[in-house]
Amino acid sequence: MLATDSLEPSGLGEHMIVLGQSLVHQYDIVIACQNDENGIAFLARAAKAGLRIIAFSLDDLPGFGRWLKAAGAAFLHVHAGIGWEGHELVRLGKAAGLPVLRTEHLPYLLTSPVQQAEYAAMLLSVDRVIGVSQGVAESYAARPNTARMKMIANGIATPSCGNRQAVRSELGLRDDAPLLLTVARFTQQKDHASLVAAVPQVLLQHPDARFVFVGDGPEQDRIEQMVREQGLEQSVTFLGRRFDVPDLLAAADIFVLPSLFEGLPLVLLEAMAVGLPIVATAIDGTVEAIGKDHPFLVTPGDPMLLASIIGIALGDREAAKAAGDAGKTRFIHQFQADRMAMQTAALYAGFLAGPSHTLQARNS
Amino acid sequence: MSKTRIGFIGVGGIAQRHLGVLESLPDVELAGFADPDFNRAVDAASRYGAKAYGDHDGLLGDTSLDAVYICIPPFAHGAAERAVIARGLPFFVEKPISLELSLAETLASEVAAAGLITAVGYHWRYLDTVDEAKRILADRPAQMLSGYWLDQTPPPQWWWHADKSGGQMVEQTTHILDLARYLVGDVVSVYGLAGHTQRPDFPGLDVPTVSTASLKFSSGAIANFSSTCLLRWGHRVGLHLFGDGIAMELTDHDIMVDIGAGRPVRHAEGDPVWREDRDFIDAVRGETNRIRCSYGEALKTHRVALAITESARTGQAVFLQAAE
Repeated sequence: MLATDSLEPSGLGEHMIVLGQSLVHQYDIVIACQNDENGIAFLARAAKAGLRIIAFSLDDLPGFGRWLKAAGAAFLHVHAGIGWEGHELVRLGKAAGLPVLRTEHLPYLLTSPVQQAEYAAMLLSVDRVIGVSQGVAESYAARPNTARMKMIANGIATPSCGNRQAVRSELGLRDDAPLLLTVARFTQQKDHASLVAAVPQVLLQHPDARFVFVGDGPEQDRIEQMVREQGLEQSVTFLGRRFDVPDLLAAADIFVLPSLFEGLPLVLLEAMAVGLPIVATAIDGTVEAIGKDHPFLVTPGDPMLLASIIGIALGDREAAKAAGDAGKTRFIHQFQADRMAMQTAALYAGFLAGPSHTLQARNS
Repeated sequence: MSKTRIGFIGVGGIAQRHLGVLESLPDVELAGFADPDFNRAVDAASRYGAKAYGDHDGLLGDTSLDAVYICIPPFAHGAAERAVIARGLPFFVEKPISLELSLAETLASEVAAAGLITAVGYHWRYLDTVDEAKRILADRPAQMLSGYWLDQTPPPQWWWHADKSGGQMVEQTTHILDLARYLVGDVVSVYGLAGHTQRPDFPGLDVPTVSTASLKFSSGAIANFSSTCLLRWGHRVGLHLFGDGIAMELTDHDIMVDIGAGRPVRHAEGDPVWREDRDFIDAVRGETNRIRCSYGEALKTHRVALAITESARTGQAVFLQAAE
C-alpha cells in the first residue's frame, strides 16, 4: 500500500506511480490518496498506469484503517511531500498492525517546535524512513532514530520520445528561436521570481528567447503579475498544468530550474533522460541529480548570475549539448526507475520475510 | 476464505445498486471497473481499492477475475458479452439484454455452448412477496392479469430514443412481463398498440408515450399491460392477478391478496437485489445454483417485449409458440 495525504501530489505522485509500476510484477500494489479533487486526479493517473487505487477521507481515517485490515495489506509505505505530512497515515498503519515505511521527498525543513515534536513522535513508530536523495537523507541526520534512515535515490522510467514541433507550433515559435522550459509548481520553493527577474538581461543578448512555464500553484498570480509589470508577456508564456511532458521536453532547448531547495527533482531526471541541457541552482537535490561538475549551476536567488549562465548556455550550443549528453549518461547510470524499484523491493522483502506478516508478494 | 473477484463493465446507476450489495459480501472482492467515462471508473475503483479501465478489453486483461457484471445501457450490448464469453467467465447482465432479438439469441446460444453461469437483473423474481404469490397461485392459478408501468420519463436522454432504449415496454415494463412469465408461464401470443405525443420539454423523444399489449399464456390465462411515461410522477408499477375467488396486487414493495375478506397489504421484507446478487455469487463459487433468471430465461421475456413492439409497429398479432 503506497499512500500519501499530500494536498498536491505532483512530483511525489509521479514517484509513487513509477514505483508502483516498477513493483507491480512482484507485489500487489495499491495507491492511496485522499478523496479531494487533486487526490482523485492523481488516482486517475495511477489507474491509467494500471495500478489499483483507493481514496480515503481525512475525516474518516479509521474507515481507511478498517479497509487496510480487510484488504489484508502487508505493509504501508507513506510518502510525505514535506515533514509535517503523513503522520496520521503512519499512526493508522501502525494501529492496523502493519510495518510502516515512510519516504521523505524533501529535506528536513521543519522550524516550528510543535511540528518538530510531532515529527519526532512519528519517528518513534515508523519502521523505516527513506530519503529520495543523499541531501534529503543527510538533512534528517540530526533527528533521533536516523539509524532507520535509508537513502534510495529517485528514479524515473525513460520518457517516451516527444514531438519537437507540436508545442513549438502551438506557441508560434520559429525553429531557431530558443525555448527555455521550466516545469515546476508555482510555490516560493521553486523561486520563479528570480527567473522572471533574469529574463530582461537574457533578452538583451537573445531577444527571441521564449521562457515557458508549465505548472500551477499558489504563486502563479504573483508571478504573472511580475511578468506583466515588466512588460515580458511576449517572452514568457504560462501553459498551466500539462501532461505532454515528452513533447514539451522535445520542444525545449534549455531546461531551467531556479528552486531554493529540492528533494531530488523528477523533472530534472526527465530533462536529463532526453539529453536536454539544464541551467539550475546549486542546491542539494539538484546537484545530486545533475552532478557537481555540471557547467550551468548558479547560486539560488541570484537573478543576475542566473541570466548570465542562461546566456552562456544559449550562446555556446556545443557546451550545452555536451552538458545534455553528460546528463543523459548520468541518468542512465544512476536514476532509472528499475534501480529505485529494486532497492525498494529489497527493503520491502526485509519486512515481509517475518513470519508474522501475510505475504502479499506475487509468485511471479 | 477465498474471495470471488468481480469486474464491472459499466459503472452507471444500476451498477451502483449492485455495488451497494456486493461491497457488503465478505466473500467478494471488487477488482476492476471499466467505463467509457473513465472518471466514473476511477470513482468506483477508488472506493474499493480496485483498478479502473476505459474499456472492457482492459478489464478482461485481468486474468484473475472470477466473474463480471455487465451494467450497460440497452444499445451497448454485444461486444462486452462476446468478450466475456470468449474468456469463459460467468456474467451477470442487466436487462434489457439487447435491442435486437438476433443478438440476444446469438449470445444465448454462445452462453449455452460455453456452459457459462449467467444471471439477468430481473430482480422482482427475488421479492419475498413474489414467493408468497407463487405459493398462492399454485392452488389458485391466475386466469387474467393486468400489468402497469405508469410513470415519469427517466432523465437519461438515451432512454427517450427507441434506437437506444427500445422504448418503455422493452426497457421498463419488461420487469412486469418477466414477473408475469415467472408466475403464470410462457406467453404464446401478443398484440400491441402504441401512441406518441409530442412534448416540448422532452425534445427529440421518439419512444411511444403510451403503449398497451394483450397477451395470451400457454396456460390459457390472458393479460393486458399498460405503459406510459407521460406522468410527472410515479403512479403505478405492478401486476394484478385474478383467479377463481382471488384478486392479487403486487408492487415492488408490497402484496395485497383479496379473497373477499378486506384488502390486507403486506410489505415486502429484505432486499431482492441482495438475494439476486447472493445467488449469482454462490453459483460462481460452485455452490448450489439458485439463480432465478439465467440468460436463456431472460431471452424468453425479452422475446415477448420485442414482440409487443413489433406488433405495435405492424398492426399484426405475433404468435410466439413456434419460436419458443
